Amino acid sequence: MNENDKEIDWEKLLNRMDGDSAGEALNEEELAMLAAAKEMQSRIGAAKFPEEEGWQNFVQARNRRQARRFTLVKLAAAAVLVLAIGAGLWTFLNRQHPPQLANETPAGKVRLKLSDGHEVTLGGSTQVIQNNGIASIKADQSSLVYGAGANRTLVTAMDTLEVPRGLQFTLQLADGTKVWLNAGSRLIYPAAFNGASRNVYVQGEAYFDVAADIERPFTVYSGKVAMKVLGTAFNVNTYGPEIQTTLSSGKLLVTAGQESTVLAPDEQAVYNDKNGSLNKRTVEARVFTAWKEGDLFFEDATLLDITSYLARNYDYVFVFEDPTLEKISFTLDMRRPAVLQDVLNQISHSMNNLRFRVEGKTVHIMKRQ
Amino acid sequence: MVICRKQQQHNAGQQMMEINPDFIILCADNNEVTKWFMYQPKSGEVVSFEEQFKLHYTFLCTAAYYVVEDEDAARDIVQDFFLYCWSKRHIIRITHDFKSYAVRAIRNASLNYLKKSGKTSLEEVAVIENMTQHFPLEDNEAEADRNAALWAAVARLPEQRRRIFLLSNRDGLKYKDIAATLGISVNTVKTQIKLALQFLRKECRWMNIIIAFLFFLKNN
Repeated sequence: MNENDKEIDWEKLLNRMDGDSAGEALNEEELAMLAAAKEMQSRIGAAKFPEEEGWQNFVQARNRRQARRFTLVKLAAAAVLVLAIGAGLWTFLNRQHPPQLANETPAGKVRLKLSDGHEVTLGGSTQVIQNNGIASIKADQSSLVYGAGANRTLVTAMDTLEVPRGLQFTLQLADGTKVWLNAGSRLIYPAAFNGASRNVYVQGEAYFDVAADIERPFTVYSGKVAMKVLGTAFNVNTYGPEIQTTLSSGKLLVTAGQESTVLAPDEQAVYNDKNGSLNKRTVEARVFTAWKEGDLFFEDATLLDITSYLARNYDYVFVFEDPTLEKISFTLDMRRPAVLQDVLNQISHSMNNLRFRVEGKTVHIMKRQ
Repeated sequence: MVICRKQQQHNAGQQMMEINPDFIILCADNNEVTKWFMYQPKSGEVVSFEEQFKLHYTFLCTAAYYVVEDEDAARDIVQDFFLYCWSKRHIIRITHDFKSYAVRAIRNASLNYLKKSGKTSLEEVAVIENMTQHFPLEDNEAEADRNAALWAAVARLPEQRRRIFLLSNRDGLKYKDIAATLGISVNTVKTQIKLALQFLRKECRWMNIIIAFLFFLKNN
């Protein structure tokens, strides 16, 4: 039966299966083999569609449709309330001594440490930091861009970009890869990628949109975890005791010691440094990447989780006067305001049993009397 | 046909037209009193929406994936179908075989997706439409047997060939990525995939029937 295989142009057929369809016509034998290959792919792939996961996603999508309308109404109501209370407070507080507001801007500065030991403070006006054979480096208020130089020699010395608490920064590497760095993070990378691979190191939280280059794999290292990219956008979070890698698009190979796993979009690998385990789970990637779009997005998160994020993000300290409040959980979805006070307002208007008292850079959380 | 939509009592005679065209196959009017459930075909037993979903989800995703060859698109198509069923659960009444309805709806939606994507020529979509007559079967037992036979044949592949075949078919990696991951050349990957396909098709004899049928189609 397989003597018919002689009629098959395998190069053409394999390219078609690999997604490089040049639109060439296939003969009967090739079509029959294609049908068989498609059937195998579907039967083998059935494991990618577990019903429990499908059901969870369905329930989420269904609830999201219902919830969206609800939230809009609630937000509108909250806005009216803010205005009303704001006006009331204003007249009331003008008579008493005013409480402090959490309106301070962060004191730290973004710093770039060049491989030659030279250090530059960023965040000011546009400037050219370096322009030589290895790379050109330009900075403006909130971003840094590397351009490839004419010199193609291997660069082994590393530059370091440090983003303090309270600030965010974006960086474009010499290969075109874009990196968003969240507050309290550090990225270590070469000024140019002239070797056979592209390696960078991260602490804190960063989102990578990696420029595709199949010849030179891009690997992000964080502690014991290595994330090898096959043309991808993903988020790394090392703030807590675990290292979380969340994939937005493409494919990602995550390895930690002997363990490894391949991530698909909306999947997250969690590495636990204590027991060396690497686990994979399905998540909604947007929850983990909203920060780089300038959003604050927490879905059913505890007040403790939310405030520890806010502390880092606005460079404040939170103190729970009543520990039972730590476990309250709610959903918060808003544009990231310039000052913390706006976030506190939003929270206390949706949770009316909460009160925030600001003292300098410390926020005390207590029950409303 | 097995799909009936119930019209509201007060506007009987007037068709409801807001139905998502991707999913509707055939509708017949029905003036019986609405039942808010879906029925299992054989036993006539009422099953919940969740049971119905879990019973058919994997199978339907596979059917969609066969056509669109994109995991996420397949998941979206099936999820949209169920969201649609959910939103219309008060007016759709499925009195007969939900699976048969669902497979055709998913197939149509998948073929529409291909057409809209613009990446696939209309001729090719027609060819794929022909292929869908052979996969998947609606008989659960026959499907399970064939899956088992294929997996048994995969287990008989030499180790490296099986690994490459699964990285391609199960993990969805491109040949280039497999080559990079395993540190071998793209040509080696292609050769191994080719050998795996030839072997598996020989082992799974039902896949050979397709040749004759497609040939038959072409000659008519």
